[in-house]
Amino acid sequence: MDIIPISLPLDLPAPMWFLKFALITFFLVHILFIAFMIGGTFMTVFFRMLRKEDPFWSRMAREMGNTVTVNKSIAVVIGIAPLLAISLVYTNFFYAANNITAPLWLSIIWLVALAFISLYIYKYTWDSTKYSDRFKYFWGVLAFAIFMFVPLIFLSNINLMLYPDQWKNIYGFWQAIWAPNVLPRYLHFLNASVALTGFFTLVYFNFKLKDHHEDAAFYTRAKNLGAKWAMYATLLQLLFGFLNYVTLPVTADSPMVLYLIIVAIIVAGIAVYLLSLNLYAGKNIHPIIIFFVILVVASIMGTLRHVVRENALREPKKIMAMKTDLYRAQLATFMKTYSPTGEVVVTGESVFQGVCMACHAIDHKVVGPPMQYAIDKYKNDRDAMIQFVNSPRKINPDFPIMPKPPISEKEIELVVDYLLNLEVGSNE
Amino acid sequence: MEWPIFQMPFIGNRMLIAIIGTIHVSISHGMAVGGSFFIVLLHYISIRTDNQRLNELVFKVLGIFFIITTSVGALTGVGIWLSTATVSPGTIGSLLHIFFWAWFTEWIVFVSEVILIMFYYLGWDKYGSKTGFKIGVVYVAASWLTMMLITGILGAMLTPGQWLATKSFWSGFFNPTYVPQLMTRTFIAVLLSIAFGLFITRLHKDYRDQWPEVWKFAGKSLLIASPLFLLFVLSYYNSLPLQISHLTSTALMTMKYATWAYLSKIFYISIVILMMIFGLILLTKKKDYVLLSFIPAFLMVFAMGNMERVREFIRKPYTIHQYLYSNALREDEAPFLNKTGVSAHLGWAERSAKETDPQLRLGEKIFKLECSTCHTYSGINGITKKTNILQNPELNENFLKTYKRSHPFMPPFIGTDAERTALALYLDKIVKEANGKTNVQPSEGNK
Repeated sequence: MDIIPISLPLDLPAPMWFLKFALITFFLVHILFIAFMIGGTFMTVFFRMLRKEDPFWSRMAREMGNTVTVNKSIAVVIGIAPLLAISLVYTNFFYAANNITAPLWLSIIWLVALAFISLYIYKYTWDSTKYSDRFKYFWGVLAFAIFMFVPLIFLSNINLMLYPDQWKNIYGFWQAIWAPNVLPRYLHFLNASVALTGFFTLVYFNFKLKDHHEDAAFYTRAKNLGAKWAMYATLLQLLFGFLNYVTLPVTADSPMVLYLIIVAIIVAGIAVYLLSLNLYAGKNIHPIIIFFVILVVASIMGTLRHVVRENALREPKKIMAMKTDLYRAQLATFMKTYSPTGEVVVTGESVFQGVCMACHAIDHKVVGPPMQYAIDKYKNDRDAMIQFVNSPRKINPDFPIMPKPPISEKEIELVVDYLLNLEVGSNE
Repeated sequence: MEWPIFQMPFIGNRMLIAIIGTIHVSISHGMAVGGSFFIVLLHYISIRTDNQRLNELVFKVLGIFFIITTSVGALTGVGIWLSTATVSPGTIGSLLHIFFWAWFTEWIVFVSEVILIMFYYLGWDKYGSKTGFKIGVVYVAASWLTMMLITGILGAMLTPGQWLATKSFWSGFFNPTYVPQLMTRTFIAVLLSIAFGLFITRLHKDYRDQWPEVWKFAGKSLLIASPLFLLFVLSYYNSLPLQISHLTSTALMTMKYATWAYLSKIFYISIVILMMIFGLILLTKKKDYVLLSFIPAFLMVFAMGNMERVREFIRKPYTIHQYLYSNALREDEAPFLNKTGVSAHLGWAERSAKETDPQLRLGEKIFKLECSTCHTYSGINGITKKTNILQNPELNENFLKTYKRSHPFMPPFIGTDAERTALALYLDKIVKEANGKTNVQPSEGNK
C-alpha cells in the first residue's frame, strides 16, 4: 500500500459523476462491439474452414466477415473514451497496474494492429485463386487467436488495479493472471461474447431479411442460428457467472453486488424465455425487443463492475488521500517560509565550472581542446577571445565547432578574465 | 511524483514513443487528413471527366488508405496513449486533467471520422458517385477537425502562454504557436498524402492507362502545396518564443552533430525545392518514373519525423513548459524536495533496484526516478557512454551541481546534497563497470 502514488495537484476537468457515467456507458458500448468482433471473427473463420459441405456456412462466414470489418473499428474508436475516463477516475491505480504489466500491456498495440491486418488479408483474398486455402485460413486463425489473448491482458490489468496490496509481489503479466478472479472473469467474458454475438446476429439478419425477401431461407436460418447462440450461451452464463462471483475477493464484495446479480439473472431469464418462444413455440417477438432486454442485463453488469471497483478501492483510496494530504501540508508549510534566494553572485570561476567545463578542462582534452591552448593563444588579446566565445568559428579540424554558450555578454567577459588570469604553466 | 518507473531497454523510453508517434503521425497526417483530400479531389476529377477507370483506381487507392488507417493508424493512435502513460504516468495524468475536454471533443469528431470513412469506402458502390462524393467531402472536414483539436494540445505543451497563470483551458489551447503549427501540419499532410498516393498508385499496374491523370494531378498539387508548406513551417519556427528557439539548433544536432546546425537552416528549403522539382517533372512529363514513386514518400516521412523530433526536443527540459519536467517532477516543488530529499518517494524505484550497498542503492533509485525517462544504461543516450563527463565521483558531483547551464535541456537535479553524492557515486560505478575499467581513462594529454 505504501507505493500508491500521491494524487496530482490538479482539479478534475469534469464532475466525478460525469466521468463515472462516461466510463460505465462508453465502456459498455465498447465491450459490446468487442464481443461482436470476437464472435464474428470466430464465425467468419471457422464456419468457412470447418463446414464446407453446406453452402449456408460459407455464406454465413462471408456475411459475418463484413460485419467484423465495421464492428472492429467501432470497437477500437469507442474504446478511447472509457480509456480517458478510467485514467481520470482511477489515475494512480490504473497507471500503476499498467506499469507493472508494461511489456504485455504495450504489446496490445502491435498485436491488435497485426490482427486487423490479418483480418483484411483474410477478407480481401477470399475469392482470389492466387492463394491457397491454407494461406487464407492462416490469417483468419491468427486474427482470432490474438483476439482471444488480448482480453486477458486487459483483465489482468483491471484486476491488478483493484488490489494495491498485491503490487509489491507481482512483477508482470504472467504473475498477474493467476490472481483469483482473473481467469474466471475471462471465461465469463468469452461466454458473454458468444451470447452477445448471438443477439447481434439475430438482430442483424432480421434487418437483412426485411430488405431481401428473395433470400428468406438463408436469412431466417442465419437469424435462428444467432438466437440459439444467444439462448444457450446466456444459460451457460449462470455457471461462469457463479465461478466469477465466488472467486471475487472479499474486499470487492458487498450486498449490492449480490442484489445486482440477482436482478441480472432475472432479466437475462426473460431474454432466454423470449428467445425460446421464438425458437420453439413459433412466436414472433421482435428481435429488437429481445436485444433491448439483454442490453439491460449488460448495463446491470457494467454497473456491478463499477460497484466492485469502488468496493475494492475504498481503503486504498483512503490511504492515497492521507498520503496526499500529508505531503501537501508539508509542502505548504515549507513554501510559507521559502523565498527564492535572490541573485546568485556570478564569478568567472562559477561560469567556467557551470558552462565551459561541460566540454573543456584546463590541461587536457575533453570534448573541446584544453583551455591551456586558448590561454596561450589569447593571453595578449582579451577582446579576440571574447569575440570568439561570442560567435564561435571552426578553427581546429580535430574538434567539433563550439556551440554558442547560453550566457550573457557580461558573463563571457568574466570567464575570459578568469581564464586569462589563471596561473598555469605555459606549454612554450 | 512517486509514479511507477518504466525503463525501455536499449532503445530507451523516448525512442519507443518516437517510433510509435512517427508511424502514427505519418499515417494520420498522410493517409487520413491529407489522404482524404487527395482521394476526394481525384474522385471529383473522375466524376467531372466522367472517367470510370479513374474512378476505379481512386477506389483502389482509397482501399489501401482505409486498410492502413483503420489498422496500424488507429492502433498506434491508441498506442500513443498506452506508451506515454506507461513511460510517464505523471505527465499524461496531468495533461489529461488539463485537456480532457479537447480530447473528449476530438474523440467525438474521431468517431464520426471513422464512421464516415467506412461509409465512404465500404459504401462506394452502394451510394454511387454523387452521394459518395458528398460523404467524402464531409470526411475531409472531419479528419481536418481532429487535427485542429489535437494541435491545440500539442502546442500548449510547448508554449502554454497564458495557461501558466490562468490554468484555463482556452488560454492553453489557443497558445502562441497554434495557428502556424496547424497550418504547417495541414500542408505537410497534403504533401505526405501526395507522396503516399504516388507510391500506391504505381502498385496498381492494371490501371497503367490512368497513371498520367494521377501524375498530372499530383504534379499540380505539389507545385501549389510545397511553397505554402515552406511559408508556414518558417513562420512556425519564428513563432517559437526566444527561450525555446535558442534550443532548436541543439535539437537538430546535439553536440556531436554540430555541423547539422548549418543543414537545419536549409533542410526544409531543400525538401520543398525537391518536391517542387518533382511536381514540375510529373506535371510536364506525365510519365512513369520509378524513383518518383517512392522518394517523395521517403522524404516527407523524414521531414515529418524531423519536425516532430524538433518539437519534442525544444520542449525540454519540460513536458509542460515551466510546470512539469521531462521526468514528471514539478518545477514548483523542486525547492521543497531539495530540502527534504526525494528518498521518501522512491517506493517504485525500490521494486527494481539491484545494488546492495545502501548508498549505491540510493543512487540507483534516484537514477531511475530522475534520469531514466531519457537515459538508458548503455543503449540510446546511454549514461555509461558519457565517459567524457562522468570521469570520477568528484567530477560527476560537480556536473550534477552545475549542468543546468551547460545542459539546459536536462531537468535540474532535485534532491539533497547527500542524495546528489549518492547519485554521483552510482554513476561512477556503472560507468566504470560498463567500460570495464577500474579507472576511466581521462582523455589523452592528461598529466
